[in-house]
Amino acid sequence: MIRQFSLLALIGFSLMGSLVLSAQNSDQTPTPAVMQAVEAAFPVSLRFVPAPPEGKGTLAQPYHSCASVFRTMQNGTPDLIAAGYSGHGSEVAMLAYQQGEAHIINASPILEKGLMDEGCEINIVNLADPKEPNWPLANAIDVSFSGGPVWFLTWGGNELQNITALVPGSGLPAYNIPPRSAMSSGDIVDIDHSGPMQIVGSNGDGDTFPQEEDGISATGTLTLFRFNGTTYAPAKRNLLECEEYEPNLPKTPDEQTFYKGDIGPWMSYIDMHTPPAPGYQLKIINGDRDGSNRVTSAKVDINGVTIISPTEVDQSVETLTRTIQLQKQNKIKVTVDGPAKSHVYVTVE
Amino acid sequence: MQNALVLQATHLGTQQFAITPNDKSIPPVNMTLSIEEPKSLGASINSARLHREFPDGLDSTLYALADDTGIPPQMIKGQVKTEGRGFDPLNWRYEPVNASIGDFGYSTKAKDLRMDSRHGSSLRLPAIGDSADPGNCGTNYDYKSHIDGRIPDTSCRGLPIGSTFSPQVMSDIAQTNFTIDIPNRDPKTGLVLTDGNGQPRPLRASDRYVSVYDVFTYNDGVYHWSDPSNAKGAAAQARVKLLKSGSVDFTAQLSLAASYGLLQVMYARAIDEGWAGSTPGCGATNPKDPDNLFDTSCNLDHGGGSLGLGTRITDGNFANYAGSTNPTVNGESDLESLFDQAYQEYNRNKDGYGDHVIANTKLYEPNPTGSIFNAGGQQ
Repeated sequence: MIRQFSLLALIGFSLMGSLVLSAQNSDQTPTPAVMQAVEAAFPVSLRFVPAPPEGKGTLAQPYHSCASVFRTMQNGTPDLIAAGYSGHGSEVAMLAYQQGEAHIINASPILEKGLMDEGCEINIVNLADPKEPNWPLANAIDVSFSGGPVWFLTWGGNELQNITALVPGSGLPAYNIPPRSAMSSGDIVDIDHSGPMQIVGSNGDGDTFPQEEDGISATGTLTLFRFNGTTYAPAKRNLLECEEYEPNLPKTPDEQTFYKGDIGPWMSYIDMHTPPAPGYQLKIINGDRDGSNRVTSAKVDINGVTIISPTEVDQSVETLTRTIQLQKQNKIKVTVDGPAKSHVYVTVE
Repeated sequence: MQNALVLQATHLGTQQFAITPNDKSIPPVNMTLSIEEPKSLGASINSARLHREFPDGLDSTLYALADDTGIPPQMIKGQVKTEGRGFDPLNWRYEPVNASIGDFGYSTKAKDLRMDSRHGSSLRLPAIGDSADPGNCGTNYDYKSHIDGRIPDTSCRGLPIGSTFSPQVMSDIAQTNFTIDIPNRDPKTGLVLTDGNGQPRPLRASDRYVSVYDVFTYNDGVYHWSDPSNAKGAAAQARVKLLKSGSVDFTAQLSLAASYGLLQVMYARAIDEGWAGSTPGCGATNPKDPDNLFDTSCNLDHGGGSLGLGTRITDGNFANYAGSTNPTVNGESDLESLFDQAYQEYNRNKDGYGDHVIANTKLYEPNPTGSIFNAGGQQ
């Protein structure tokens, strides 16, 4: 249940026409004064500090908050602040800020429980289809608590909406334990070049559980989440790779040495504990969906064999797909050239 | 009125029970329930290092921890299976980019860790720019400019890898499977020596000023720190991007930014939470002294090393989720689910960690020492 606060009525919204949302602006960092006001509004219910059992150490920082400016007035003064509160439980809140004071307008349910000493990170991100810049997705809240799973929420003007993919069957309602986020990491990508932005999350199934007997530390798989109109939902669960590359030709002597030695930022790895089945697809997605920021060349080598040569990719190419044969251990080397801000995604599925 | 009662043993010892039948014509029965150590936990573990450190086997150590914390011993062993590589008590893993207490979390802040009140003077890990440095690099030390080209200011003392640790710990580290390669660099130019084909060589105990960029660049293909499974979330991936670009570099604090032992506790957490208890042993003179964190039989007798500390952390997580250290739980399934949550919290940024520990627990169900009831039936 979403908690509502009557303070909403106290806040003037007559300036709506002259307000600026943050995802399109660079600086979302609150000033110390705003942060102090956010801290002062820390929900009492989350401030529970479990006393450390005898002999089990001390809690140096029992609770934390993090905040990002969600909306400013035309003069740059913050108006709405998105905050993450992390104590014995964690939640996201939207606060109205005025004259040095912050008041919670609306807060999410408890997202995670049992945290003892956890920080948080929060950012305002643009997940919207570029054709729909006024959708709530254009100013989505991206929050995580101490490097844990990622949560995404939108603000509809009155209340927060959780659009995070959840782990089916997780949570224990009898013990007030909420369901877990299925988005253990959440990189925003645009490999579809259509619709809202997609999110790629790790499945955590790589070196987490090493099978040391075969001498391989396997890399993990990824899930692609797409927005279904209500929430982000798993769309593809078996991505082996989704990496973004910007122009990266080696220049310095060190870089050239590393490049020749297949070491460094050109490299990514796909390692498996068992021999992979044939028929994986490697795909290059060049630049943005409107045709901008495309690279002028891209070369892809897998285990020393060139799969895509530089002349096959130029600014007229949007996507390029190759069927590849992976081995148990694979080195993928991607070399890209092009103007500043140009980029490609390389996926393997 | 209950017709059945399911109990979970949490500590060794005996408990008296009175069973009062609904049929008043049958007299109540008093019985004594005795909780004893099992014969063993699942199949035996074939690990030479484990047997060297625990000549009598790991299981007996787990019984004591289980009795102390109330966590069933098969669950502790299941977590060791999940965390460790082959039940190696000397397991050691460098963490350059993790969320809070990896090398990035400390080193880029350019803090003098010996002045950090959480760690006190016992940490004894000098880094470049250390104000206690005899080269008087001072508090205004510019990390980045001195690292540019990876040529340290020779008047400053870098982190002498491991040289401040006891010989026993250095010996233990040398025996681990975790090896790090770094490049040979020209001492004058800082460039990779091309006459050696730029090939890496293993890290030596005598190496100084080891660059985190070098460690990351030359070893990511083996340890996959940049893989999203390990570097989770935007912040960690941003650190990966910085390291890959070479735009940030600093002296790698390999010992500090590492996790250790059967339960892979991070050094900093071990120090923060007083791994050695109030009466440290094994050569430590301060409860926060990180020496001898490796799981040896000695430190288990004096606070538990990573195994003891990790188990107590799980105990605290369980209490947080269940609302009590001794909760009333609705059946075995709920109990497992609560432990699942507690273990997930232990390693919260690794999906499915709790599920995996619970699954491994099934491999180590206790083998009883004998039948529940004495031969010959009821006495």
